[in-house]
Amino acid sequence: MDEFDKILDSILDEIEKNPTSDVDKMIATKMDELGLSEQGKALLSDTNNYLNAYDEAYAKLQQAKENGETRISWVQKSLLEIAKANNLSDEQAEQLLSDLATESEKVLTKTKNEGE
Amino acid sequence: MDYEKLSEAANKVEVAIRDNSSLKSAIIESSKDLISDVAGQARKSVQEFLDAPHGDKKEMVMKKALAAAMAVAKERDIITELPNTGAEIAAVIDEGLTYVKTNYQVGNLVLDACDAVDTLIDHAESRAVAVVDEAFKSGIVSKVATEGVVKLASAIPVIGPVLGPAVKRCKPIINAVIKRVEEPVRKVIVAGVRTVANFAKTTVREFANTISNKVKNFIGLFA
Repeated sequence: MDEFDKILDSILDEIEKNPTSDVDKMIATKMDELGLSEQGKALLSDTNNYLNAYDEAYAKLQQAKENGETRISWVQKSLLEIAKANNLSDEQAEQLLSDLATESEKVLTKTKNEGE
Repeated sequence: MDYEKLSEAANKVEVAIRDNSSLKSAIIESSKDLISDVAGQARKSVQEFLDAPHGDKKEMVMKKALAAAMAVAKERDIITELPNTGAEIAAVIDEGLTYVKTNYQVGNLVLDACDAVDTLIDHAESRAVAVVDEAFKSGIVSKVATEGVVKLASAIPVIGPVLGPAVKRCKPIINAVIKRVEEPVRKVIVAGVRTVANFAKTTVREFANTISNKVKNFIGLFA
């Protein structure tokens, strides 16, 4: 078993032993035990913030789909709302969506060229 | 506001992400080291994650467990290809776990292959919206509003890896789940992986002429 497996299993052991406990507190204690540095803790905190943000956005998309909206419409509407909330001009809002399309196509091109 | 231009851009996002998700499903199925690396102890928490309904808190528990393990792995430099930012690591976890859970559901006949790919697209596009939103909230892209139009790629350099994390980066996540389930469950996941890949290849065929020979040979569809 490699080191990553051992680390993950030790975390899963804690979760399985204490299924009703606060997972954030339990993991924080475990990270202290494993000697994670302050920099490592900051990265973990940032990762967890993004996990929450992705989950929230996903839940909003599911709600929109349940209300009959398409995914394409939801993406467009969501980016326009972000643009509006940040006082972007129409031109900047259009650029935001256009850039997202460009980046999506670049990601696909990379997969087509490199695979792995 | 040019709504035709906006609609065209949103459609391009959809097509690119759909094609990317399909191609990656075909690539993962071809990665023998991924789905045949089986030895490991079955874990109750992993099985509960697989069986939990979408949105259940058990999903976040597994995501946080993996995030913690990856933070330690990153610090000890024991996983190659681990990203440097929280946004990217979270994307790898989100994509890897979604992939393996949807394939398990396909293998169990509670989801069809089309819906499995659709779920991957849902997650990718949700991450795209979330990372742009977070970047504005954190002030990273405030100069967009004050200094004119700034390219998204330079304002949010993680946007590409968040939209579509590379297969090699998701492998430790997928592998971590596959090696922690009982043999019959592993067989169900592998069956799902094959079903989804076969379905995904119908999409991949549509743009086969744009794929490198290396990738064509790897996925064994056009060799």
